[in-house]
Amino acid sequence: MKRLCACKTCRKGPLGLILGVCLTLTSALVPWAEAGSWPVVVRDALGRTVAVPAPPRRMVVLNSNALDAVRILGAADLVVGVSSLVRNNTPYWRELAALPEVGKWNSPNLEAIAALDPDMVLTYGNNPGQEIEALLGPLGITVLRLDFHHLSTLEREMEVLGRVLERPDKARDYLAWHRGWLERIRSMVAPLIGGAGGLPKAYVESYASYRVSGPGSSIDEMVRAAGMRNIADVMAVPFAEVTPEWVAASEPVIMIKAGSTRDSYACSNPDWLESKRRSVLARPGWEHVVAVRDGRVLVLSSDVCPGTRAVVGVAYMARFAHPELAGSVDPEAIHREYLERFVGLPLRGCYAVGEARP
Amino acid sequence: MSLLADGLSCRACGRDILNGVSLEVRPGQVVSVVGPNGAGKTTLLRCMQGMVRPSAGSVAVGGRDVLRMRPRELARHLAYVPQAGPGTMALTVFDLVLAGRRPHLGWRPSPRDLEAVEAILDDFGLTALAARDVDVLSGGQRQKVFLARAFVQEPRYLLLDEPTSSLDLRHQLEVMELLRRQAAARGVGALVAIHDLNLARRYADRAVLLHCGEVVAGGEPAHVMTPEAIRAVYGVEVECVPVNGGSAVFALRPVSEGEREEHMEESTCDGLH
Amino acid sequence: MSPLTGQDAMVAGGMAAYRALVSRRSAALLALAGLCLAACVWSLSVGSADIGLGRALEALAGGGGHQGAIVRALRLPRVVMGGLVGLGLAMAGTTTQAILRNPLASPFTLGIASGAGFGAVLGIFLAGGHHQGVVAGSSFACAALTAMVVLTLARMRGARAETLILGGVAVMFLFSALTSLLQYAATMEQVHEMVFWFFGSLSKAGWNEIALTAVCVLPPVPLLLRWCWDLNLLMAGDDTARSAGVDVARVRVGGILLAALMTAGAICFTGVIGFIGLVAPHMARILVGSDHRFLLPASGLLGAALVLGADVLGRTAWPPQVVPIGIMTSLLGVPFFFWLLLRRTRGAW
Repeated sequence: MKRLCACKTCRKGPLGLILGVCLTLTSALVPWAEAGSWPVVVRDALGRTVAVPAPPRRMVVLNSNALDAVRILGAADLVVGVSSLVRNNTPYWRELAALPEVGKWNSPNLEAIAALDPDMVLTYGNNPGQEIEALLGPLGITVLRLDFHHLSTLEREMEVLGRVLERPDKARDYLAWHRGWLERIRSMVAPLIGGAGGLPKAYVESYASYRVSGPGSSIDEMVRAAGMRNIADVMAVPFAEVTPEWVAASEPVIMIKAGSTRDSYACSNPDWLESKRRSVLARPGWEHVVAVRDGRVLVLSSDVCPGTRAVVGVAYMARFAHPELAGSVDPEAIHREYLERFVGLPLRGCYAVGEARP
Repeated sequence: MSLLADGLSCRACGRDILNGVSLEVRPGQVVSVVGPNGAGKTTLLRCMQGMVRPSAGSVAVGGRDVLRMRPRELARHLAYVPQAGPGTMALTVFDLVLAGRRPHLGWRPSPRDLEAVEAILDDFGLTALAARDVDVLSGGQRQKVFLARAFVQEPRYLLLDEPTSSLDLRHQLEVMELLRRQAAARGVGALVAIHDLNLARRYADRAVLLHCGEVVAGGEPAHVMTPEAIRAVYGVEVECVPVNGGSAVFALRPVSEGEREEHMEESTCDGLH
Repeated sequence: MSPLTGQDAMVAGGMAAYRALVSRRSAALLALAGLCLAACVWSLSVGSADIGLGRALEALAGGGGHQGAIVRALRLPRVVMGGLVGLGLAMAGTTTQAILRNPLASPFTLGIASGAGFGAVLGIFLAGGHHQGVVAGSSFACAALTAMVVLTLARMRGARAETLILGGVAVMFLFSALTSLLQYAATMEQVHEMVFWFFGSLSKAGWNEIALTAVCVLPPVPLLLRWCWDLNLLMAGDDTARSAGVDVARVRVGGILLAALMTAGAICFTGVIGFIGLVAPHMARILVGSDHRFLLPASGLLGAALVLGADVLGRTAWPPQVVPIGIMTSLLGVPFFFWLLLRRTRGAW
């Protein structure tokens, strides 16, 4: 983080004074400025600059990942409205689930939003469309688009939100925890992949059958962080259909499947994820895929991949891909830490199936 | 074995199209049905074919009710040629006529079927067109193809609705000749709805004059199509001229409403078909 | 038109022309069979696993080792399923067009595909996309239900062609709306599955699925072939057909049922593969004419060849990405349609 420059230049006479003034003015516009000078200008998920006139007091949050982030920053009391996504996991969201719903995440009811008299709406980068800025802007509502979806952008977006909500220290706290775990996993995995085996090959399937998550997708980043090679890294697009023959020919030793569960927090029986796994194993002709033949199929709930709990997902993946880490990487422990430290909840629920327990 | 309509009545759209029509066609007999537009000729033919359910009365062929017969069996007795076929059809002439053999066809057409088709095409002068698609033919040629299809079906009775309407002078004569020949040679009866009174007089053994759904007159053509009857039903003043041993009807002029009403028992019926 | 001189020549010429036409059509039919076979072979020889034609043919006989097993387990089902689906959709399309006397008719325009789509979406919504069997069963049931609804509507009005078409269109809109509603209410994961079902895919076919589809597609074929005279006559008008002894109502209802069965059986496992039921009959008509003795088998063979060809193109256009087969057939079908529109001088047949 840049600080106001206190170097010799600023003490060096008129030139230094001019430089110092320029630097002060510039740093006031930079998102990382320490002083809480309003309005602030930040860059959103799409790279556009958004001017936030004042610290938000009433927020409508459509993006469930962003809602997680808001809760981590201790600003949950500022939320006045949520999207229907919270219905998927009400025990997890607790009091947030009781807030008024303003409709779907990608097509909210703008009148319902306006009726709550918010000053900010937090939503995804691409959904809903840009028309909501035009419609809500005149009502004095700032629309801030942050995804919290990709590992590569999570940190910047958390910092932005921390700045906007005037809680940069909490943001730093979380990021330190997040980075710390990522680093630890990386360092544990590094010696394993340097060897003769190299990176184990993984077939990563998204929600729909036979659709891979290729380069550019959020799961792809996590897979690489966990020390695997995505066989789809030759693709030109993030999501594409493939033939079973290609999967078999690429010889992946692991398969990772994205799943999602309703009420994952309250669920004690991972039936939904299990049946997904079973149907993958039963696919006709897939016994020729190495990963399926060996039964090494991991189904991960979307709660832990990706979003603010992405490190938990990475930990699951790393342990799955590198069984030698079984003793040293404990995704449940990481998850418990997250929940107790940032959310105030005990660890419960089902998030992954398919691993061979040590 | 005759085709018998007994007290046929038919209602449609809340109107009586046919009212108590009775007629008989004997084997080998050509009966023409004449009458102005809207008299109910087409409906009569469709009732005879069993396509329209009459509200009263019955149609029987060989003593059996047509409504009770299965389509394939009925097709061996009756063949119907409608006034106009659908506009487009991409079958060849030969194939369409061959399809008329359906009541007799097995899995594949037999040599007998193919011979019958060739013979009919020859009779109608359609052989040169055998490989052409029906929808590129002229209206007259198309009509002949449909007639050929009906003839090759070898039914006992033919029901023809305006078979000569699109034909030129020569073909009108040819078709009616063919009809007569079939009737004589194979004992095929025919009920022909026809506009041309002279053709009806010349080629039919009997005639039925239909007016507002009722049979006004029936019997020998010359006795049915008298100038008085024609004036009453058609509203046209005609003169019968002797021709070639017989007589022909020559239309003089339409009759005014006043004159007509003197001669008619009921008021004009609407021209609804 | 009575020929004067050379009458015999013209008569002989006419019949000779007809006989030549028939033999040309038979030759075209054989050529189509060859095309279909070539498409099968092409499809078998192409794939990501770099297994050449020789190996592939070996594999058919049971040999080929590990690679042979891959061909039998992962490539051959695609080919067989693709062929079955193409055959079923094309013959269903031909039948529907003859019965409704409408060149734009297909089982899709009767609402069958919309019903099948709704059934699949319902299955995904309730049970999840990974339960292949539930989704396919639901899809089939809804397609059958749609056919029943359309036929009942038609029965109430006398099984006329116009009634069936209008009923089909109404049903199509109904199910499209219901499908959209379910998609709106579904989770993101379910929506993904639903969307991809509509794109169509031959990847999901295993031998069990192929057996079920075969049961739906193959038995109606001889029944339809028996009806080719009736279908020919239906094109000449209801009156003419009835006069020649065709039980018009029965053929219409029966034909729709068979077409619905073939279509539902084809798409309940593979998703919507469009245009085949519309394009294959037209292409076949250009080659062999409208006599259903030739048209039915020709369109079946052509449909199979088209699906297989589209599948190969989808797999090889942009490897290893696969362009979904439903998209591929639409992309290939639209230009053909424009060509058909611009070329046709007489009617739409």
